[in-house]
Amino acid sequence: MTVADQNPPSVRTGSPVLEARGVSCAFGQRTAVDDVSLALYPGTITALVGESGSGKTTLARLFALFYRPSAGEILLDGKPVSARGRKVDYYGQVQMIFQDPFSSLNSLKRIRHVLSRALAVHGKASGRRETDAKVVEFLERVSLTPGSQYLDKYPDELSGGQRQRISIARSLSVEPRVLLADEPTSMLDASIRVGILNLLRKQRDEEGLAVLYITHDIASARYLADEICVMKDGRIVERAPTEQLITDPQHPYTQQLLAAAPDPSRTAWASNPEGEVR
Amino acid sequence: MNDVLLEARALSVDYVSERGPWVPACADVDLTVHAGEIVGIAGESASGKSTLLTALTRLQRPPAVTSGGSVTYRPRGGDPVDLVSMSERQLSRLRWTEMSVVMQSAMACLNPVTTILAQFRDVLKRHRPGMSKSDRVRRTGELLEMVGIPADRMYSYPHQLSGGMRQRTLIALALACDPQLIVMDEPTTAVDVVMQRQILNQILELQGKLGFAVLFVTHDLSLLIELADRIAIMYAGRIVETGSARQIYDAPRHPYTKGLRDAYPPLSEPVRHLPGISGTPPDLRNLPIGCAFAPRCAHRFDRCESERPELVVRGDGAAACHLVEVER
Repeated sequence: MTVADQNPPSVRTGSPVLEARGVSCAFGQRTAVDDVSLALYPGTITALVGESGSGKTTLARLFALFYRPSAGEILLDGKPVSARGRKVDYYGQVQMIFQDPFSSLNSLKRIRHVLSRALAVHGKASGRRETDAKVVEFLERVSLTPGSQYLDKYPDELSGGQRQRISIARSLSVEPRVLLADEPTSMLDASIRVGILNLLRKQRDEEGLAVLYITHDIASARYLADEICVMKDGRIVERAPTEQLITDPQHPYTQQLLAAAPDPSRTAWASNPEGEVR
Repeated sequence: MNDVLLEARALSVDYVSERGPWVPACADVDLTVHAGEIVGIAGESASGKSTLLTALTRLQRPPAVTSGGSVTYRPRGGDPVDLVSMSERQLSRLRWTEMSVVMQSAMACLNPVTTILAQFRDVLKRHRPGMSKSDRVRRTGELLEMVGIPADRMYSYPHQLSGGMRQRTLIALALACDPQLIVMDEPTTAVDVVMQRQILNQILELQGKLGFAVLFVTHDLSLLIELADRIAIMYAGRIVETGSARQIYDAPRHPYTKGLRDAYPPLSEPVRHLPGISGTPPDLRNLPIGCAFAPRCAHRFDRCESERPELVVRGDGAAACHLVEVER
């Protein structure tokens, strides 16, 4: 039994929406995810922190049913997700936001199409007028205001941050209960990043969404998440409520990550408040 | 303060195009690097930071064209030279021995079909012509060990090294002919955070030991604050603020610098709500008449929209903001 299996953090409420139980996934000889259990709760942001090759994206893709686990199972509302079930029902509950907002939107279609397609597939709106109204509503929910101004634009006409907002709006328009966000800010500029994190937090607070926030940036995980799981070599090596993990990391790898992350407030002069600025 | 090593004055770079107007990627840039100093340039995508770097090192390719200004460089024991007007032939005498470059993608910089030793040999043969074959092998081993790579890895091919090792190999290669200035363009962006920390520590250690100056370009201001002596912040092709790392962190003067500083959630200080910076960077083809940051700035007033603020020197820093002038 690993550390991660013990002591469920106190931040959780109710029963999990989405859960991985003992899942493993291998690509040829290489095991990407090794016997991982992780549950996502309503109104809770769980961060999955790890470096390249740690298996965090594979885990997200297992949750998104892009891969079939070689062992273990994925449960939605406590029921195992059947491989034969209708995918569209599952994606009505569980939505994924990808890292690269430049490749996750069809560049040949206008924003109206990108969003109304999701609405149509999931039966959330019918008729042009109702669909347009919904599209505008969701554009404004991700702070693209006025929403009507974006309807006829192509993705190429928008900045990276605006595109990522569109892809979040597309996920939200389905009214899911779980958002899987795989490095949603790593390709965005710093000045835009915090806005996206705040947007995810708003969905947790206002819609009670369960959010899996995958990142290599432990400082942003601290900013956003209620609990943090640290992943290394396909396993979750440490899991704790956010502040506990940051202030009292147990696993040597977590300690190493924290020590390596850039943190200007740790520089010699920042920890010496008496020193005067020239 | 040490002697001035590199000094750019009113440097402008345009991307020229047959159709449509030229795009001013860098405008009126003044930048000074002293001997033995670490100067950081921070900016977001399309801020002009990489354009500036390739213009300073004369590594730019069309359609980028230096349209104005000068870059004065002081070689060891020689008279200052202007890099902008130098011929390629004159420049090649400065490359590697006076200034060298470390780029972001090591895999794209190293030749995949020759060994590491062969790539060090190319540089040493050209710029250290007196060196014997055995001396070159010895020097290569010494350089690799300096960056924490066992000397026998010189017989490896780039693909046999890890990403971190490849990046450190580039740093060793940049050090090969003992340059006075090493220009680094996002040298740690492609590696994981633990490796990034190791590489940065190594750069600091070597810089302390060998005394070269570093011009470090990155999008990551939080990293730069820990690393650099002085920092220049770029926005929409212009430097909008310069100052010591401490000044930029403790008392930024430009609202953009402040917004950028506050865009990084802290690790050791208490978490508070960060507002981020609203809006998006401007289109360089269609810059506002006034301050390029004004449309995103919470402190803008009438003058910001009609008149572009100049970089005003204050103490050992400078900022291009009407607010700073008002303060004075």
